[in-house]
Amino acid sequence: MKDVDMVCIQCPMGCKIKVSLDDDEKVTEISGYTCKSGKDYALQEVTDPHRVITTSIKVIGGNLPLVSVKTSKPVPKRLVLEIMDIIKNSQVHAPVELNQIIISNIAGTGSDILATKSVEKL
Amino acid sequence: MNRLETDILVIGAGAAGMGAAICAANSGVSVIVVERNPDAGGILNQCIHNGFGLHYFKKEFTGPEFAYQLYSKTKESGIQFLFNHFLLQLDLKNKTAIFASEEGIKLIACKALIYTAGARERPFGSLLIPGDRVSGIFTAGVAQRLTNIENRLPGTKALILGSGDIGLIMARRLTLEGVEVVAVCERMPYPGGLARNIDQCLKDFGIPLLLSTTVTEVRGDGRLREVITSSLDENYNIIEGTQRSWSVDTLVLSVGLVPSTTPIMDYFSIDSKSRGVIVDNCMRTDKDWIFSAGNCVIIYDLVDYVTYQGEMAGRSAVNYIKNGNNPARYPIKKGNGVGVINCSYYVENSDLELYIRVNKPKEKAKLVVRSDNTIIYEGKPSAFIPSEMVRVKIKAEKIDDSFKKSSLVTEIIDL
Repeated sequence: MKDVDMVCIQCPMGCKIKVSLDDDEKVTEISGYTCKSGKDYALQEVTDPHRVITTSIKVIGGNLPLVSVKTSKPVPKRLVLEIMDIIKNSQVHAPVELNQIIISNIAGTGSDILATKSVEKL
Repeated sequence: MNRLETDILVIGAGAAGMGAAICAANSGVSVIVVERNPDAGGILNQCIHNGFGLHYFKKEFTGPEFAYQLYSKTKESGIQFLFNHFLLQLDLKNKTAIFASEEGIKLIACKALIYTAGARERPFGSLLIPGDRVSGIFTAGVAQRLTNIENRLPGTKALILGSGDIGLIMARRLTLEGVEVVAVCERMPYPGGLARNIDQCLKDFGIPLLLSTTVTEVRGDGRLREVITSSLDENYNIIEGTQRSWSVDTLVLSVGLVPSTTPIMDYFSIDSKSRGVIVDNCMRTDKDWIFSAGNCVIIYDLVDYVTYQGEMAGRSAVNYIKNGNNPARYPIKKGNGVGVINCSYYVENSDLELYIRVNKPKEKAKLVVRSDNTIIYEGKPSAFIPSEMVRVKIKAEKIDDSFKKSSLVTEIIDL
């Protein structure tokens, strides 16, 4: 038996959620969430925590040197640094469109790296 | 000299300015938005993290995405943007604003003006920290701009002073980019940022948060080499013997934002302490044709709130142009426990939207708004912390019944 206390990171409300687990790490009780997204987050958090990564990728020939990007869905937290390494060693040629897929299925997670803004060609 | 005319002139194309412009243009008046940067979005453009828009768009966006969504709306509304224009001064008599631009001096006459210039960061110089004057000391926003827009890292090993949200966000951002973040120090006994950011920005990466701790000296020769921190007692006095040395080449300051009101402080009233523009709940300043919204009024937690307040300014400016009324307004006072409040006046017969920050954490308390001794609004009992702003909406009907036409008082009552 153990209780895990956490602050939900799904939105700025910061709900305090408590998840109780039995000796087999099975969830026996969950309380403190105020929406479905919070409940899902808490359940994911006690099994395999996931995070959305937001960062930037180098742009060649653009009006800006970087384009901001995000993972299309949360990726396992344990892969965050590995994914950052892949992104650091990547680049994209201008023009870049908003929502353009820059790297698909990054690190085999099923998540794509998407541009979160447009960069014009110089 | 270049002259233009418009019904409504908006200064600043961030979230507040775009919110105001969209709302005004949708009522059929002409709108010009003037912006000093080459693009719209303001500070959102460098806030590449997510968490924006859950209230306003009911969807989660990154900063640039939120800016794009708003800017797309302005395109549907026929709003004219003038980029790379900088406000020089106002001509109150002729309701004209004077700008510097690449084409030279430009005069724009309007019927109503909306000032949405955002905020600036409190600089290192205001902290009076002794030591060497070295490079390697950045405000968090500057470090963010270098990292996220200009593709330049501020350094290799950093200490962050201030646990406001941008400090926490930068701790994670720098860590992801390979900078070693040794600690985040906070002089208050509680963190300045949202609980979710403590979790996902510090705990996720094992970055220590040192409360009641501040930077007491910076040392280096040309470049920063060493930062000294000290613990503080409950009166913020340095506790001798708690000095700690950190060998870092970078100090990032997340020590607060100050409303950007320098260009207009001679023309309409600002709060002498917060430096924010003083407005009523319709976002009107003490000049009947000038409105203001966003972080130049008070510093908000969420861009969603900034956008709502911008919309209110837009609606009120249109109402002023069409009806020209100047209704009576009454002061809203800060009672016990209230640290920051927007707005400062209540306009009779209107809905009231209040944004309140408590001055210290409360485990269980409630927010009360009263007119003399009559309670007009009573919130549910809950916990309050200074880093999380409370938003309250009260309908005009609810106020009018018991409004004594003197003032409204807001207070946090301990339970």
